[in-house]
Amino acid sequence: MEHLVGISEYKLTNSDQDIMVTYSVSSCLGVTLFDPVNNIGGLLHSMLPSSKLDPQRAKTHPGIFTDSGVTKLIEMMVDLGADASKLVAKVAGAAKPEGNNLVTEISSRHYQALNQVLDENQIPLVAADIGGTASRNVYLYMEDGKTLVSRAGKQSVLN
Amino acid sequence: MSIELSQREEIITQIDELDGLPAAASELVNKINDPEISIQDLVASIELDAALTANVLKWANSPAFGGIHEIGTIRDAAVRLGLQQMRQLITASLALPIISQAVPGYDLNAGRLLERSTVVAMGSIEIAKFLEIRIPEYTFTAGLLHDVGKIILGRFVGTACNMLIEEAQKDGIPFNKAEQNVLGIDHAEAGALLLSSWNFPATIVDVVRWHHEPDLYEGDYHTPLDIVHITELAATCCGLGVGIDGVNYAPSSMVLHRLNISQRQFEHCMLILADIGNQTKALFNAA
Repeated sequence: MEHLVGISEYKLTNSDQDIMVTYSVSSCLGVTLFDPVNNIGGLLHSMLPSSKLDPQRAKTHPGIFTDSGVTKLIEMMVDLGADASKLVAKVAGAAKPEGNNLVTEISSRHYQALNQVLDENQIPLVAADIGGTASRNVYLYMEDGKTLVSRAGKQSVLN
Repeated sequence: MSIELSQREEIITQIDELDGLPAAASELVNKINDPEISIQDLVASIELDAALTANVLKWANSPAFGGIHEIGTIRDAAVRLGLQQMRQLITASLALPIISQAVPGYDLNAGRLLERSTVVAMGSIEIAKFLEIRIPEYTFTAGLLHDVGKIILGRFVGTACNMLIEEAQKDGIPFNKAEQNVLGIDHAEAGALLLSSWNFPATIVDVVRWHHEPDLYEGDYHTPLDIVHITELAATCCGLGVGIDGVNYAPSSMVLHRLNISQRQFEHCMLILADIGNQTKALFNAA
């Protein structure tokens, strides 16, 4: 079954039949977390890097921000039976136009926020497809934990 | 680089050959933009057109216009919403059949251009409020129609898609420049030509024409142009209605300077747009 993850949303599953997908990851991040031992996976589409922008909103809608979204997703995956020490992360997105501007700042801080929260939870970031100017679609295939990224009509597996 | 020298002319010819707005709709556009119009006149004009009435009621009952109690008639809508929102409502209703179509050349499924257009239209109003900047009412219409040129170019991008992507992947070439280089015209200019041919006011046409290149606009200072530029940038960052062009547009440092917008304020603008996107989701899916 295919599960659509909207902007600022996250979803998780333990069914190896499932495919998780999120579309139009532009300067946002699409983050997949997968525990291959317990076969539990999650996908987050975070819009902004840091919950410090609006801590109240982060409490009710943690998926908006990379830091609170990843933290919440890890928490829920562990509740579902995942072993935090087995989790691996992959990421795609953080597109940005040329030059230094408001958008490039968001893209850079997204990546920093992700690395920080993964470091805190000792989760390795094993693959990344970030930057460039293209919007991406991100897929997580639960049967083998494969993360697939498509952009500008071309698909590639994140390894 | 170009497919052939006549590509630009071919696109402009297609704009000229497109069916114009129906006469009644053209008349309504004039009425909407007439500062002296009364709400009774607007109501009477809408009630003459069953399809338009249906679209107006569809929008009026959507969260986009704050619908909580069902609005059953145009007169109810007028009473509930007032003249300013009625103008926006009618514009949105006239534009609905045009901007809700799929634009395959830009990889936009049916409803995605509508999503982007609505978010930029409503977002422009809300972002201007947030930044405490006064803007004229027509900013809504300009925001709603800012990307209408994609519908024209989308027919040509299909055949030139790979060339366009290749051109846009060159360092430092924004997507609108790639359109100009490959097709001889960008979607902003195509949209402006289309709206001119439909007799939209120059104030709105200028916003559509220069929304990606506000620094090249040579007229008097134009607040709606700045607001639509920054709102579209924020919508793109949110991933709302983004197609093959991705985030490949250059933000204007002059606009950022004029609006004096901080990083934190810009990120708040994205939150504002995300809220509007959520409120209007049902409308896009139903379109």
